[in-house]
Amino acid sequence: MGKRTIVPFGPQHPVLPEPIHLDLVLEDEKVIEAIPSIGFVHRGLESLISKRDFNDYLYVIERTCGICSFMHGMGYCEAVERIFDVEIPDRAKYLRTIWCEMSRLHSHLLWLGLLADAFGFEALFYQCWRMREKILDMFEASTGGRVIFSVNKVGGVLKDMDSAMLKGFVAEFDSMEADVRKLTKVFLKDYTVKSRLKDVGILTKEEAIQLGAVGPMMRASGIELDTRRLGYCAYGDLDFDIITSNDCDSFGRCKVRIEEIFQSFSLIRQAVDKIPEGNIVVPVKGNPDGEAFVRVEQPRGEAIYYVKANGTKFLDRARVRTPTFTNLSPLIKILQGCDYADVPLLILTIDPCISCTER
Amino acid sequence: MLKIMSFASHALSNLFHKPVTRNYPFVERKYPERTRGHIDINVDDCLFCGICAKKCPSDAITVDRASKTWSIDRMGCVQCENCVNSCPKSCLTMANTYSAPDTKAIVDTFQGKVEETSNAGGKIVFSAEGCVYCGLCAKKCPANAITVDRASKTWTINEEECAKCGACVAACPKKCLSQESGEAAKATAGGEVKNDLDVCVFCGLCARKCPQEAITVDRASKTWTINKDECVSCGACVDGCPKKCLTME
Repeated sequence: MGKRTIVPFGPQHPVLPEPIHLDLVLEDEKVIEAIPSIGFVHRGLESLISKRDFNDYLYVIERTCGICSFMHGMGYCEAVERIFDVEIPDRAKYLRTIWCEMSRLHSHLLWLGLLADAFGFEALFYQCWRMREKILDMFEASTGGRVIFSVNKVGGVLKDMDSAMLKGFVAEFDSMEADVRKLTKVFLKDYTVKSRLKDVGILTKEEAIQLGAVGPMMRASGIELDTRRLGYCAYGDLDFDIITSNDCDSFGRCKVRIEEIFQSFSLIRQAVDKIPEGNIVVPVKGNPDGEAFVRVEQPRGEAIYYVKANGTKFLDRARVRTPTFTNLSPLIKILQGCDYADVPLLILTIDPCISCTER
Repeated sequence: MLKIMSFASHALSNLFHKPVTRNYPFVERKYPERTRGHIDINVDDCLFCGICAKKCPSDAITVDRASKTWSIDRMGCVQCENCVNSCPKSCLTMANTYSAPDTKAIVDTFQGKVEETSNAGGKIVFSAEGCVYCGLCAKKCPANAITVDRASKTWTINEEECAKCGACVAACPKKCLSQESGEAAKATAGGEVKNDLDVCVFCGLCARKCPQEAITVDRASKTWTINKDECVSCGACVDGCPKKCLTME
């Protein structure tokens, strides 16, 4: 047994902008144990519920995260709508689905870029982000924002997309899909990339269940579970398979996310084909009373929204359980026994969003 | 060999590709129509009701009803468009260009029209039914635009002189004078909403128009109640009333 050393990692690290701190117990170059600590970017967004009424709180909760901001807003709205027991118009459901899948696309492309950056492939990193840029432009054209979209509302959505805009988007996605397919071949086929990802960070199916992994992290360990199957928004009307991989390693996680990109293209196409005409919002009157629990599949995994109302316009509680938080335990597991050089890469494979986790 | 040259085609195509980036600052970015850049206000239409300030999640807006000023902390604004969506007078708009950057916080203040008796009100409408030709309206008129002759039972108004201030409407003991809606609320904004229950048909339009949900109307029991704590005196109910039974004092 070699000499043990403790190396602090983060919260500021050149590879990883996410503010997570790890105490890495090393034995030579091997990580024996990783002790995480978070709490560097806590902003107290959940406590703002006592200061803002339930309609205005939407603008607070969607600022939980800069990547899944749409889904945070949507999950909260779905929870409040469930308390009111209102059914939002079908068109609004489809619009939400399209924006959700666009969020997934840009999140996964961002992640692929960050992964390339983590294993030192700068050129690939910029290629991925170049693709992502087009999606951000589409978001800006349709919602008015590139990061925070502010199009959700309790009872529907605030902005509509006309058929010309939707057709334009589909045409753009068609051309983008070919480019992304060409680009992702590098991730799946390249020898150097494979050597960094294959058999690194093994998380077996049993461990994934035991430690409560969610999202692509879980699906890459061969568990077939996707919250979208619950049929929220318009997912019930759309045809899609759950993408899994039995690789159980970093390569598997990369593969699952790449395939989810193509699945998102297909889901957007289906949604644009099926989108009905009609209203995009229903009026919601009065104050909510009761509680609701909503599960939403974010790009990083399953997020849970819990909202408790007391009959006034101020809610008692709005709680989010973010996917990154649940994925931290599997992360600690996969860090045990890994090489020191693989630590940033392994942290990235859970697609961490510490700002989400701490709110 | 192919396994390690998988990126070569990208590298080669990038060599012969036009740059993806714009040649900033020589080529400026064209923002889409919907871009949420900065808030603009048409301050002449503003009632200074303060709903925008209440709705603003980052408390960037300050409204002073007394001095009729509306100000926004440009750096504090998070461009959520909530104020634009909740403005009862639609005087706020979102422009698609960003406000200029600065090292200090920029607070833009807009000054509304101060004079109370500007031509902000609507046309005075006279109803001969109920008029007792007492002449109070003529006495109250600051512009001396009204002439009342009790003997011949005539009521005339000089439209050119009339300042549309609404003083005659307020003075009329028989409530036979009214001011046309729309613009009327502006002149009277800022006060308490009163309902003439004799005229009211309890249709509930005012409750629907109220941005603060401060009004409750029950047609069955013929009750009309207003939550004064919630009311922001925006005048949206007065504008929406088909019977003109709502007034602002």
